Amino acid sequence: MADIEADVIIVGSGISGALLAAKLSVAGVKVAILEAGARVDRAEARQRFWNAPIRVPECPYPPTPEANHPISNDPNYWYRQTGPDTFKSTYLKVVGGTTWHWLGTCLRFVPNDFRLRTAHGRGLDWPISYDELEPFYSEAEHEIGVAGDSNESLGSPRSAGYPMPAIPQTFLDKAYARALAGTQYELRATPQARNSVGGNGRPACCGNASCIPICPIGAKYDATVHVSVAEKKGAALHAQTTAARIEIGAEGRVSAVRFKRWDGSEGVARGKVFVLAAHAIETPRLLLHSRSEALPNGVANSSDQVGRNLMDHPTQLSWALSREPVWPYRGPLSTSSIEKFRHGAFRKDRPAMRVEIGNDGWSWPKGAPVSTATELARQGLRGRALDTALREHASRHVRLASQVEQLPDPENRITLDRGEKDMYGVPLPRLAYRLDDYVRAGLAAARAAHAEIFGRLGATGIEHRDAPEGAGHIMGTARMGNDPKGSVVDRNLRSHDHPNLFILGSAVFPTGATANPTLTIAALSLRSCESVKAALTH
Amino acid sequence: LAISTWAPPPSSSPASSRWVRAADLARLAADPGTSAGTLATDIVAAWYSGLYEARGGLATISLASALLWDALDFTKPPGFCGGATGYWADAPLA
Repeated sequence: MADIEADVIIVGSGISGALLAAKLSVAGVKVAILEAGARVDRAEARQRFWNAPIRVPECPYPPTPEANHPISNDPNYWYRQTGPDTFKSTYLKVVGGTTWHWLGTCLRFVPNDFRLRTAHGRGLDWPISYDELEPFYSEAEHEIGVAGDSNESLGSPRSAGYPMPAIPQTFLDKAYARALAGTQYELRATPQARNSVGGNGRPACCGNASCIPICPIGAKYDATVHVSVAEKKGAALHAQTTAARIEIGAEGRVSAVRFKRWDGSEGVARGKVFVLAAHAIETPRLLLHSRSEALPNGVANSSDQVGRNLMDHPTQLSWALSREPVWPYRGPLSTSSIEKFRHGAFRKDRPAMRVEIGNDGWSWPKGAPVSTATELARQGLRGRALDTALREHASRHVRLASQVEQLPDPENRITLDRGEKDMYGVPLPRLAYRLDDYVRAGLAAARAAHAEIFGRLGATGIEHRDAPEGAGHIMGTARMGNDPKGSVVDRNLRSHDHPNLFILGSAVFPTGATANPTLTIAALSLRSCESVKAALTH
Repeated sequence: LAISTWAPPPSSSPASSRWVRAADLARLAADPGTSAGTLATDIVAAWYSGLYEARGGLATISLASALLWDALDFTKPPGFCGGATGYWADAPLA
């Protein structure tokens, strides 16, 4: 007798697991979700953000020994990094996953992102095409509730419109657009998972300007929406329950997931089909840790590709002071971007990139405007002079962040640390990570573009962060492909090795493109539903 | 995108001078004419930022009631509603 039994056992309640759980539950399939973290109370999380002196994305959701995860202000807190470069992107362990602190950007890949090798001689092709995924992009946009301009394809042909009108661009965006008129830098409204109108059970955005780390009103989509749909349709959510080992039985089928709870109790989850949806660090970590005499490389790893090809969107961060006030620190943290460099023949030489316009002033590079107040007070300004200087300065804070494509490299990988383990006895994730010349060419191109854009804006005091930032986009550690020798899952996200095991999330991305990955994660999850259902009957 | 990865850089002034010190406060209260080093600046910086240097590191007094938000009358502290959807499309009314 198992402690948890269902038709489908899903490990992880982030967007990939939650969407599949909801779609299966609506179809009458019995689902159980194992989630390492706890449920989040939104008001309490906002209060933790307000109380935190260091306001990183994780501050409302601090790691605990029971649900440990990386934090942005210390890249060595959870990861054991062997370099030579530092991997900076993080994730959460809570019900709803990392969508609690995502920005909400919902871009589709462009068609050539699925055929980078064929079109540009770089990386490799995906086993599916844009056209195959397109209907699921539309389905994902409707499930999530994406606000966007349906007349603007952004290079990704659409069969359906967005479910709600675009989020209005900011005063700041319009200042950029005026300054850049007639140049190659064409501003576009960003499609985003943020209500421009209410009506789906969540309110319209009222510009709290805290999308990262938390939307206090739930105008921004997070995966608790679909966790809730799944639960209402009968799915069982087991929070504070960490999957610690995958067991393989007869004919290479997964027979059980062994789990441990926060209170120290242990149990076994059994089902017909098992789905790993624990994001691109924890999924390979669990697969590698589940090795046995029969499977010395770990589960689903006959290809030796599990944990390899770790990717991010290395990000060039730059900031400056505009000539005129542009009134940042209002509205969603970003509402516009320059998308045209996400595709083009240049990709054979340097990476595609996406230039994001920030509404958040210097908060990312400097912790402003709070840090500005401290600085000006320490300069000796007092009273009205301090107020005037603060307003005059902070109203002109502008920043750009360009994320560039990083090619898959088998040596960029997560393995298991040989020494340290977490409280469940699972070794900590050890990361090896190197940025290659292709990425560095992209970062240099980004700096040049930023300088030119700031120049057009009449901005002064331009600064570029020396080392690239992480985008928070962890990808590629259980890649999909047609060849079982070179990939972990097939085109339907089913393990080549174990017929009742599926893997969801950005771990399966063969290449990373430049679109923020969440919408593609969502589309792939929705597409996988039919295959998961088919696997129930075989 | 991982916004706000910022963490405070180490201060250039010695730690002992950055604490709002009880003894200095008492001395200042007894004799407002006395010099208490950087105490006045520390206090103004704390009033405006809502942060102060405690012995255990940076600490929060309050985000929302820091004086900087009075100066930045074109916006409000993060995590508070700013107005109707799209208010950000226009220049502030201030």
